[in-house]
Amino acid sequence: MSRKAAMGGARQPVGGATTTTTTTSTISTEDMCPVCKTIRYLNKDMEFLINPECYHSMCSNCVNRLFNDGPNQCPYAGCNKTLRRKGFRSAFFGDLGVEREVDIRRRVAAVFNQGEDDFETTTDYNNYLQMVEDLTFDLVFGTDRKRQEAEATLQRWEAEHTAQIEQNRRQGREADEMARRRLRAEKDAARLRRIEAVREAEEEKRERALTREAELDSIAQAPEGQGSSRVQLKRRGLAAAAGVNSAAPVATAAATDVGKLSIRGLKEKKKAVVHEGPYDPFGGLDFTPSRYRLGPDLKHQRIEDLRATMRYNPGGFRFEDWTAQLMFEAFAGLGVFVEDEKEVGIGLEAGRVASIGAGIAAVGDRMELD
Amino acid sequence: MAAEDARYRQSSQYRLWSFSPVELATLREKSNALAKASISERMLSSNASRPASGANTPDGDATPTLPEFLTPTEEALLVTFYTSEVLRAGNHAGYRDAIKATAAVFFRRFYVTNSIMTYPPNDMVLVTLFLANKAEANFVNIGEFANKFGKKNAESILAGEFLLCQALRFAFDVKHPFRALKGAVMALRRIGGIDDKRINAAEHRAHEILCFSPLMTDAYFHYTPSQIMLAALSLADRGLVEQLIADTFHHVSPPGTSGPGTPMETGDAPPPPRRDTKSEDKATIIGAWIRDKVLGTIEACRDMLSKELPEERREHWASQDVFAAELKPLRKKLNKCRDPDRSNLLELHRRRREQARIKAETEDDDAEDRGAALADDGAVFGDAGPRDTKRRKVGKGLEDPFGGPL
Amino acid sequence: MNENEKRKYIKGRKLGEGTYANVYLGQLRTDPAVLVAIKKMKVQREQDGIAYDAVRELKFLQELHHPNIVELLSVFNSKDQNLNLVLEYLPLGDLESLIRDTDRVRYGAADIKAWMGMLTRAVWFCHDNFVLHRDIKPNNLLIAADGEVKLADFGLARSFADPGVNMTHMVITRWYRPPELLFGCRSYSGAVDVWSVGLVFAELIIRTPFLPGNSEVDQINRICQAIGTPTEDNWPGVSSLRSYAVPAEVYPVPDKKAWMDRFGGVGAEGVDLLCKTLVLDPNKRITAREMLEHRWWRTDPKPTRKEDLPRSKDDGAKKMGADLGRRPGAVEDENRGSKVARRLDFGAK
Repeated sequence: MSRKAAMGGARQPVGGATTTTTTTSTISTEDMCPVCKTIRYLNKDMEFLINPECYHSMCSNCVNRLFNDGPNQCPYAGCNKTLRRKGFRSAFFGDLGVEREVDIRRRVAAVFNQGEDDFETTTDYNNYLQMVEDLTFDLVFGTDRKRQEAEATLQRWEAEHTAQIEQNRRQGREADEMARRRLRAEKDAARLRRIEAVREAEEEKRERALTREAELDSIAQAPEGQGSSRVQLKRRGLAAAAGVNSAAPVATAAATDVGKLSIRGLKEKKKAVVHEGPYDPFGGLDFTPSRYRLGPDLKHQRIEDLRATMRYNPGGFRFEDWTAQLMFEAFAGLGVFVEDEKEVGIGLEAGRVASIGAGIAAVGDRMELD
Repeated sequence: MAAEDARYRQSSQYRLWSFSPVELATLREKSNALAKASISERMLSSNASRPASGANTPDGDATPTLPEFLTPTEEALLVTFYTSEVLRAGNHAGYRDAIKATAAVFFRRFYVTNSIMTYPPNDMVLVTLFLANKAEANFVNIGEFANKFGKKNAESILAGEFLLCQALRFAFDVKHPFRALKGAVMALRRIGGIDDKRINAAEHRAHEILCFSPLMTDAYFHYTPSQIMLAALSLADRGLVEQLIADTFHHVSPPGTSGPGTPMETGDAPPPPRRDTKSEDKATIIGAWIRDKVLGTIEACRDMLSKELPEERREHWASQDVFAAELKPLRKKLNKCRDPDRSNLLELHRRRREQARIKAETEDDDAEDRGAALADDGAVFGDAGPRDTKRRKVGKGLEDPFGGPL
Repeated sequence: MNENEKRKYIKGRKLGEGTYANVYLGQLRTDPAVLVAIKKMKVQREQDGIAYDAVRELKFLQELHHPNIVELLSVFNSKDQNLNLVLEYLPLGDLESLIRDTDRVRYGAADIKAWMGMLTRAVWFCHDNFVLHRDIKPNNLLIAADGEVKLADFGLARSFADPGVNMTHMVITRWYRPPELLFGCRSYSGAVDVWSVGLVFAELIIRTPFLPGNSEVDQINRICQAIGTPTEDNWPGVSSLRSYAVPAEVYPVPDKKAWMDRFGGVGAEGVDLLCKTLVLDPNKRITAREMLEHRWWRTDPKPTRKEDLPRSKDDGAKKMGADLGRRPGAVEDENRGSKVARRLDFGAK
């Protein structure tokens, strides 16, 4: 994106960048490249580029001329930074100081990307934010020495916590995705509700007509008046069904603390764990028998006889399966004590069970007890 | 908790059809009482609604007094006798052990929640056998089935089928001890040092017992198949079971944790929790305390089975003398006090289906359930108002024995 | 008791209709938010009394309790001797409609892995309880509200048979039927289910049935061409099966590369697992338990969480006949959300 904005000489960026003060030339810096002194009148599409090494601005012609053949020194007087062609880009902000600060902040944020959920208390989070801000301030506005220290801290932090940083980055991306999905789902839900409402209104009209007929019918038989209550329940049921469909479960990246993390200058901090544990194909079930062991040393005459008669077993019948079944049935329920476990009242109620027979006999006879 | 025990507890046999002896007795009493009450009603009102019309011969009653009803004990005796009939029929037809056993269990279960006075046991014998075939994945054609037993009318068997399903609460999976026996034999062989011949003999004898004794008692309600199997094996050869148990329950708790004087020896509560959880788990599964409890249970089951050992009891139940002395009077009694409306399963079945057919023709499915829940309770017996005799609407439903389209 | 059970549920609208059963939406009377499906079965259809598949369905659903197997909550009967099975409500349709909806539903390797995990677990659970399902196909894999896949329809199931007891070979829908059944074998094992699972796996990957034979002969042909002709070399004893018949041309078992070309989307490990399920000789075929121990589950990508799995764009209940009255053009609105202006984020790179 080419920058046509003013170069904003209002604020003087301190430290690390020295600008050449423009002379009392009537031509503003926007229209003249300080290096080659070309003016816009001569080069209509003049574009200014900067290099984040020193944030010195020059026109693209100069950049090409000076750096196309390899790295070179920055042409600004007093700046002896070695620049490369690929480092150059156009600045987003007119004020280069702002541009520089934004770049620094971006870099810091990429490294210190913990979210509020990663901390136990808000105070801890605030402390963390303070620390980061201090560091940033040092990087942007500090003296040379301060800056170097801060830079060193940043590097060291990044090296130590690459994994965690990557994780947080991913989390951030996921959270975005979740938010997007949530939005979409809410839209869908709203739309569905609208449709449902319309349809329900129509249904109601139809139902009313039907129930009127049904009531007329039921008067002829048993005047129970169940018709209308049924309709209401039906609608409730439908509403419940729609509710089931439209709810969109959103799982935000859960932050469970697993281990503490100690960093320089910081108090307690909790680590976010994204993993739910490895996938268990058995779904947590384990049917390893407790009282016996399966093995090839289990023998039965019947099996031996059968095996002797079968030369091949093309159907795939598995004697191991049968052996497993025999052993299972021999021991399953050995430790189950029915009398103890089935007291009257627990499990099948004696009274209710007895009325199974009565209930069946009662079918067709109003006088039976149930 | 042992994995295999936990899995057994999931079965319908455990959840729905296992009871404590007290529970079972209560259930039977309730069924008995309910039957008495309803039959009395029916008899009284059926007598009342039929005005004294000379040569009227109501069901077994010349006077408006009620007959003598069967006591629960007498019912139990009849049920046991008829169970042996089920087995006899199964043997006659040459069905597998599992099918015969399932039929017997179905039969017993049916008469826990129904009284023998309500539904005639004669008919139910074949019904249970028929359903047992289906439950055990054996395809039977109803015509062939009926032929096997010299019954020309297959419908009478089908008539009771749905009734049986309901009474069973649709739990068709019955777990038997036959495979368990083979498993025990494998485990014994693996221990080593036991004479093969001894094991084979014990297996043979135990199998014989399992085909008869548990089915003729309430064993299936109070014990698990594993325990029943070991009880039978114990009857065949006590020493083998002792060895097997000792081999299985081999865990010895670390010293200082369990001793002879501790309260748990009373056997009421599991051992108190210990610090060493792994050892604690093992102790509850294969430790000394549980071993003793298991042995006690097997012993109790053994006692129950020993009352109905095959050699003696088969003869007992088949003998004509016994029949004449014990069972015939009960049968007579039963005939006098049975439920007049339900003694003929076939009629009952046809009437119900006819009613269903009428329902299907006049209304749609939903309407049937909607308002009419209580309306047609009496419709099966052909009344729209207060109770009426059954005689009225019988004529209608006899054209299509298998009912019309639904 | 029956009346008590019946009164627990309120029957609502019809969800679907079939030859032998109607399905209704139902609610728990005590908590109308809890939804159930009430399957009303006409049980006395044939001459032989209660239908066999009704017996089987009831028998096994009462015994098998697992998160990946559809749950039977209750049974009661209505006066006309129709059986009502109260099942858990699975509103999101079945896996088949998800696979076939290539226009609107997209899924990747992680999703396939998640679904396969659920299916394999269900089959392993059945086999561990010594039950053969014998009708595994995407149509019978229903999806619950939370995304969990559940195995349904036990109408053809049976317990493992003792050796020497014959079973029928006419089970499993043709496209998913293993060669030993096509050759008329009467004594088999859980390997028949594993073959079906393998074919469901393949179908998930290529999004069309892998071997859609239009007759049993055609089915055998397709198996031969795609997986290799069964011979005494690769399957000792096969020629002794009573209906053994293969086309004259002997196709070889394809090499790994051919599989990778077609099914490589799930990675080398996935293809390895697939191949192991589609081994001709049932003795050499992988078992359900071994499937769960395979490396594939531990390699990347990790299986998607069930809440995040793709869902059918149709209303699942619609599949069974009901219509929620959604506008036909509703689908386009789905993408509007993505055009929301991006938040400015200085921290992001």
